[in-house]
Amino acid sequence: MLDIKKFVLGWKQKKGLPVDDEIETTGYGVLDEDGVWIGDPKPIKKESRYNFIQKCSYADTPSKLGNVNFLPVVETTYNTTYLNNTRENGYSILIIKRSLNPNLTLKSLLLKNRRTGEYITISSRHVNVQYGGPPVKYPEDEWELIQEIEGYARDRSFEQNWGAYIIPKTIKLGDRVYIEDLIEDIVAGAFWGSVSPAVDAEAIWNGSTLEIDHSAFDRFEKIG
Amino acid sequence: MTLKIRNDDIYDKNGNWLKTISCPKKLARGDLDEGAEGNFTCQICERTIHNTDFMTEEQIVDLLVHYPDSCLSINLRNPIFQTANLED
Repeated sequence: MLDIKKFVLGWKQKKGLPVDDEIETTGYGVLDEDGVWIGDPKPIKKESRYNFIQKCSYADTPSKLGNVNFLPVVETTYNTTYLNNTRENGYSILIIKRSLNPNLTLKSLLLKNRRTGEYITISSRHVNVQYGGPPVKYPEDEWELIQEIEGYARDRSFEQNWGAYIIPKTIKLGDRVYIEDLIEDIVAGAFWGSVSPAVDAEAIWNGSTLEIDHSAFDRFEKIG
Repeated sequence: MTLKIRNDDIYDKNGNWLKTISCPKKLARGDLDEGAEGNFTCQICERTIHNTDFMTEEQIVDLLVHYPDSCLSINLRNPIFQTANLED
């Protein structure tokens, strides 16, 4: 594992800073006294911090980051023959067991108006309104539940519940890499009732695993 | 009718420039505290960050015309915003 203290000491010496100054460390880098990130590699967010406004009912188009930072590419395979060949050729292999992400589950209701016979699909019986105002309600005495609809935002067969990353021989501890075909199910973003799964990612190689940096998906949002 | 974002500049439907999206601290939505009425508060400068997820296009334009220094939180999945290339 990367020795953060040694990293910070080296960084301070490189910047000509007094070595007895205290600087907050985060991830694999440092923050200056104003809270501005300085240094390389970039800070890493190990978990998605997206705050959902409401339960998602449908899947948005998967969001692709692209290798915009021209990072080393981690190859993905789901084939044991190819896996064994690369292993025999001296590559490090990282087996990933896929697990479902609750934040990618989709739920909605098929309701029928008891008076008019109108059918609607809605996320829940209490729906938040985008442009203000109280939630719209669909009470049981007015709307009959016909069916609870369930789905999953990532379009991939559940039979494919494992994969393997092939670690490039050229990367070293702490390097940032690009995963072109993401095995894990994670949220790239969401907007109201729609959620977008990630199909690729950036990650840090920590010597034994690839730690996905969720901050890469911040580029789908702008603050300022 | 959409607001066009070209690089970090926002333009209204008539092509009038409204604002340059710029945060000196390079903050992301996850770095913000939840504030009142669905908006956010910046942990560093303590300013209100207006959450455009809850705003109409007219409300956004009106805010930026009258308060051009307002900070916004913009989800690029919001159909109100259209990301344009330099050639557009």
